[in-house]
Amino acid sequence: MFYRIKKWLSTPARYTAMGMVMFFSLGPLYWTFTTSLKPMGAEYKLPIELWPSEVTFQAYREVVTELDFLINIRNSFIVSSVVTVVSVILAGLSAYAIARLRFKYKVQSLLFLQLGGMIPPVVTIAPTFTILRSMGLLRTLPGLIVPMIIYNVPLGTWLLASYFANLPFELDDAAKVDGYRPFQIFYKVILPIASPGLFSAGVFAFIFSWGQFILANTVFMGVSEIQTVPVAIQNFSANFRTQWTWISAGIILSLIPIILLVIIFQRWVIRGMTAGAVKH
Amino acid sequence: MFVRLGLFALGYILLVAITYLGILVIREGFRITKKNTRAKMAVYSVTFLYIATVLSFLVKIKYAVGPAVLTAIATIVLAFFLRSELDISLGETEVAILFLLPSFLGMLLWYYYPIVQTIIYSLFDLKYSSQWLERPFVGLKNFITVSQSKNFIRSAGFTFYFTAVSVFLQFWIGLFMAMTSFWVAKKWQGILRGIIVIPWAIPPIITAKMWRWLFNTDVGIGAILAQFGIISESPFFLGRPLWAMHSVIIADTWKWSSVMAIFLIGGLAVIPEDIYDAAKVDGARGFYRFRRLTLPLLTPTIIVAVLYRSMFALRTFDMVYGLTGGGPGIATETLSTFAYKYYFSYSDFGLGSAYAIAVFVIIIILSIFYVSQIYENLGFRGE
Repeated sequence: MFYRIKKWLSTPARYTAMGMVMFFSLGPLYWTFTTSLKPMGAEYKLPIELWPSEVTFQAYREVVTELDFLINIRNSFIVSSVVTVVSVILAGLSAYAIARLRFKYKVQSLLFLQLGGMIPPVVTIAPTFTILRSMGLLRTLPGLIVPMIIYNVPLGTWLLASYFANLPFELDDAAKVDGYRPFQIFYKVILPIASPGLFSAGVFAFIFSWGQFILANTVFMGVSEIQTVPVAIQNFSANFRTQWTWISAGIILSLIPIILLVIIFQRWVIRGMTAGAVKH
Repeated sequence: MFVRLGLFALGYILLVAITYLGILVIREGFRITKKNTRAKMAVYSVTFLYIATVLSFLVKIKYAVGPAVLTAIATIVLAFFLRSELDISLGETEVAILFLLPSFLGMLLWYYYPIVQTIIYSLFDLKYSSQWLERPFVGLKNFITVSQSKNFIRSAGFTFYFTAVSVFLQFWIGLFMAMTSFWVAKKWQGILRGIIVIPWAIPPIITAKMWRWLFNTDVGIGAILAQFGIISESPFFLGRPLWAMHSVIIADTWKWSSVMAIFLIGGLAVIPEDIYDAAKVDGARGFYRFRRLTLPLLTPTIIVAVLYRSMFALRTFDMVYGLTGGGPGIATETLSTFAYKYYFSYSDFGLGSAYAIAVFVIIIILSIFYVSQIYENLGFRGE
């Protein structure tokens, strides 16, 4: 669409722009990565080296052996996978109802989910804390998993509803003529062709639960064996004499799954984020 | 742990099932028992039991256990008596209720109950206690205390300043990123967009940590720029109030420009190409085309993107918590970080809730605009 502009923007100018965008997005990551490869103490060495003269994986080794960082990564994996699976199921059910079933108060139902989802975690955190305390879920992983499943439902419903709405309605009508019940239409007709939508909702849920901090920080209350990655990294700098090679190594380790997901599912992420924002 | 999760899931399924049965029984009950007043009384009393359970949950979570069990039993008994007349064929409405119920109950528990509870907290004097039943009711005193305090005025000021500046920067950088991704050859577009999305995917607290290291005065970006002679001296990014405020804005802009870019890529992609051809025939030049064609056609997307980002900027918590912790002094405290601090550092649920309600009111107003903007763009099957 924009190739017309090529005529007045010379090729070098366009690729300079691309270089700037790449530098802007990747620069901080690159800096974290080089810091993680430096031996301890060398991160403060002057003059600053843009690539370490001595590359070592010491920081990674120490983060894994001395800080038990793999436990944090395992916790994050458990939390994110459970949250992703369950929240996509819940969101898929409600999205199907909103996008394809005829019933009264449909707009109100969608508003109930969406406006609720706009409420920031910091506003709900104190009562959430007291609920979890009375359920005995403080300082446990389920205490993080259970509320977070619901935190991912509004967006998931939104993405999936916009996906379901784009599937032809003739499918339902034809299935109905064939004598399918509404429930059967859902799992025999719609679900089998909805996997791209389910995947993109899942990617969002995974990424958000991987990075959830405020609830995790409140639930875990400093118990290190059950902390997820964001809380552990926040506490690296609080508990220890700030070791930036360790923190950088921890950051790089924790970002590997996320960045892989984003690169693999890049197209779906973009489509999912613009669901509803753009009129097609 | 998985045992506990499984038990929780079982309990939840039971809750959904009972509630669903209750909704059906009450709906059908009123239809069936039009004449029979005694049967109608039974339906009314089950309805009342549901309301009583919710209210007792609001008063204290533990008080709700008894009424909940009672309600469940009453629902089953009523369903048993009405079973011959109960029409349980699953029509579209019934399936819709069944499908929405698991999400709705969760939303009630983890979003709507906390909001009501936070409003209740904000009306009580809750220093060192969350047992509002045993504490004095103080009306709007918490709000008055908060709105007159220097902390609130400073943090509200910074929250709005932060939102305005960072959303403005993110918009222009995001627009530049989005347009660049159309300028380059096809084979680069996918790679470039993949790279643009990366900062969005990095958790905010980790972004904050990365930038905390980059803002190191001795070996961070300031020092790198000084080493290359671009600036004479590396500034104290996080040590001086004004520098710290703008450091938070820079880090936030880095992370969220990508979201702006993704929204705008979506918007640019649907601008029909023949419009540009027509403009070309009319002799419109590049920059003129951008101002007179691209920007106006992009306006709906821009409104949605800016609203979306503003909503999230106004609630900023992680970025500040991880980057400056609110310091130096209270220079970079936002309303959200103060709410959290009052809750868990100063153990004052009353004042914390007053801050939280302030955030809530601001955001819910924007949210209503936002949802109404995007609702029309989705083609759902009607009522």
